[in-house]
Amino acid sequence: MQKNDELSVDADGVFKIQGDLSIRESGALIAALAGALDSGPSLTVDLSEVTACDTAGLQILIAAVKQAATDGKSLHFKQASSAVRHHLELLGLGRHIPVDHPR
Amino acid sequence: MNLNIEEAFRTYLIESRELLQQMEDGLLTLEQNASDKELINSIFRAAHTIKGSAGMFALDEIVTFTHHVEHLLDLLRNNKCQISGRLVEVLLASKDQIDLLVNLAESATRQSPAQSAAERELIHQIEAFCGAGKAAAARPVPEAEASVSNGDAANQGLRRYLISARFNNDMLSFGNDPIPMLKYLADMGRLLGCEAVVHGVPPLHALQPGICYIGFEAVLESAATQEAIEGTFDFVRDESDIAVLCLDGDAAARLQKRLAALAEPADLINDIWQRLGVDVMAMGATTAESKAADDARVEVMATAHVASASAPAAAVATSTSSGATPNKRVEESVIRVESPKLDSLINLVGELVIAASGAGSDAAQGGNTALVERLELLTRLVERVRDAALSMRMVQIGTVFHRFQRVVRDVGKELGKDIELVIEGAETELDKTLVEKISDPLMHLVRNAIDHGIESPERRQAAGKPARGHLRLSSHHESGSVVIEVSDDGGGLNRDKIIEKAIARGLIDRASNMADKDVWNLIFEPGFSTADKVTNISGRGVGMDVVRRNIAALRGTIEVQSQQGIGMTVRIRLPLTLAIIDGFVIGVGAAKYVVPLDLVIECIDLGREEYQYSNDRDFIYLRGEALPFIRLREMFGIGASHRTRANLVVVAYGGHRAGLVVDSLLGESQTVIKPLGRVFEKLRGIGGSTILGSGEVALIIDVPSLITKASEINRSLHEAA
Repeated sequence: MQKNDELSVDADGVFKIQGDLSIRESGALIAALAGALDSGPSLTVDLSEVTACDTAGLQILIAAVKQAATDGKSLHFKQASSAVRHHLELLGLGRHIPVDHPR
Repeated sequence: MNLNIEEAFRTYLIESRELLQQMEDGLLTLEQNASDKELINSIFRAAHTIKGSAGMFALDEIVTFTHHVEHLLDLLRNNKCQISGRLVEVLLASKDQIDLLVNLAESATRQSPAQSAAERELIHQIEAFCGAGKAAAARPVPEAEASVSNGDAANQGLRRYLISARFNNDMLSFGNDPIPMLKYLADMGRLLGCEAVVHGVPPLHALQPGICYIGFEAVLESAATQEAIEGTFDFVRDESDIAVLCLDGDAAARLQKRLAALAEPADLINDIWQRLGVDVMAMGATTAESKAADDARVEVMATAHVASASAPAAAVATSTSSGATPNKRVEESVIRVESPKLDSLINLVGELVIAASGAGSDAAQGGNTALVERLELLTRLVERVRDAALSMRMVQIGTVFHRFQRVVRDVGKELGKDIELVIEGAETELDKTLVEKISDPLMHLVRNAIDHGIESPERRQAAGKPARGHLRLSSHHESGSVVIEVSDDGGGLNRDKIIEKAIARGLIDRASNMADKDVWNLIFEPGFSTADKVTNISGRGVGMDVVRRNIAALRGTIEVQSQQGIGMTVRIRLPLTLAIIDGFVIGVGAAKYVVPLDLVIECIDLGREEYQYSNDRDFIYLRGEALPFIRLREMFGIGASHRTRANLVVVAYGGHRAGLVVDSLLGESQTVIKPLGRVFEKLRGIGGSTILGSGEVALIIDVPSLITKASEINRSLHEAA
């Protein structure tokens, strides 16, 4: 298991995913992300420290977007790591997971 | 959810190695019989499957390299390239390269290593063959392509395809992921665009992580055939809805049909297509009813996809016009079980055997007849369970033998010798651990036979033998053991040379009347080699002594037969299994020992006279023949017995007999062999320990080593005489 055991929202409402965003971590990720979404009206997911990701992992992000829409909450993504960016592009998911890149 | 990707990866490694072996066997046969069409197909399928599964695990190095190999094989099977010795050579080297890449993938350094120079050179050679093949090909476009493409684009060889994929099954749990598939598609040409379809993804609370809800629409420009592109999805096609549509020519009708078959709103898909540069409206949707013939193929596919859940076979059937169906594996009634699981089962059965025989002897003492009878039935059943459990560990030795095809071919070529490998008794079964451990010693013997045994064709002809040498690997069962023979029809051992060398090394003083057998045994002494020159293949000091040690560690023996000028046979004898034996319990002093029952010939009561008579020498005359024996009391330092009677257990192994003098005979017992610790490794005469039904510990007598000892006595006997 990666560091995702310690997944939680920090004081600024940012939820940082560290390590792998993949099928192996999916159970823990879904639970943590659902908890984070429930904890407030808006959430930012920081993707800068994702080391590897696969379709299952990206699918969780999409599901989170849908969950936020259903619950009327706002969800943002910021700073996709190169692994995430590469696969978002390849799979053509950019439209559905817009990532802010503050310089 | 328990996602066993590690397990899937391990299975992938095992299967890849099997497929590689299959490739190698196929290529070696192909070398002999170049016209076998089905063989080429099976080699192609092996390569194809290796590549396909490697893609699923994102092992890009394997995918890339194997892709080249597959391409060449594809040309071969379509008769666009001629088989030659050189080509088989390159394909064999390619197989080795894939093997190497698979090993790299296993060694967990999952970062892709840069292509090695050897790999680039191989690719270069493969491409050279492919190039030659293309030039010679009569028709540049296969029939399957011609039927769906129009003339102009075909001239270029490049076509645009729309790939529309929906999965909606739990393939993610099995490590099947669309991302590697897209990477693979990108390898086949230029991926002009891809957009994920996330319509079906549920909100987080309803998400099942193993199911792939994400589909995609992608446009690919490629020279590959539609079939080849569909092949990307071989591993998921049965449960998924995949359509590959050629965009050249009148594609509108095909697209419309696909649109109708998809679950998402048409507008949504239309928008995606437009963003990908596919505009159905602009293509003119009015052609839906025309070109019926052209569309027939797509129609069948679309129908199949609408009903994809119920009719996966139809989708497969329509997409494989060539008849070869790479993704439909022959259903084998074989289950893969991890060997530790089997080991623990056998361990448990072993305990069960001990417990049952313990209960049996207690009941016998108690005198409860009904109970004794029931326990007898129980014991019989437990024995059958034991046999069944052990048989699960049995594998055919052929798996090891066939590996040597390649060794014989390669080493023979290197040395300029023409050698045929003859395999006999490949179906003989023995314990899996034995099979693994016998491989190295056999390799040594095979190399020795090729290098030192079989002569060069010129020398063979000069000696009046056929130019082609024969190496024979054979195996059969013989009274509780497995016999493996490596024999060649080469020059045999040179008695004088061995004696000369042995004297030089101080192993013997003189050889006046040494039996041949004893002379041959000298080659098992450490550091003994009669090779005149050290070659690449053998003769580097790692000699037959290591082979003998390895065999002895398996409780086996090794012997040599040789006739100068005619050939040599090395015979290895191994126990069937390492785990459980039928034992014969004997008592010496207060201790109990077990002798493997298979090796016991008879038991003789040594009366007072015979016992005393034999007291001052180490053999008796049994039915007119001298039988050497060993007093276990002396052997194990137990001290003299006050008894006047003793028993003689006659044992035999590998054609020798010997007697063991013991105090008492205690009967048969199921014996689970427990290895002795490292401390006792050097102990001579003891092969292991076991726990008897009574709970006592008994040592298992290592009969082969005792027989060797007894033979030494016998020899001194002969020399004295």
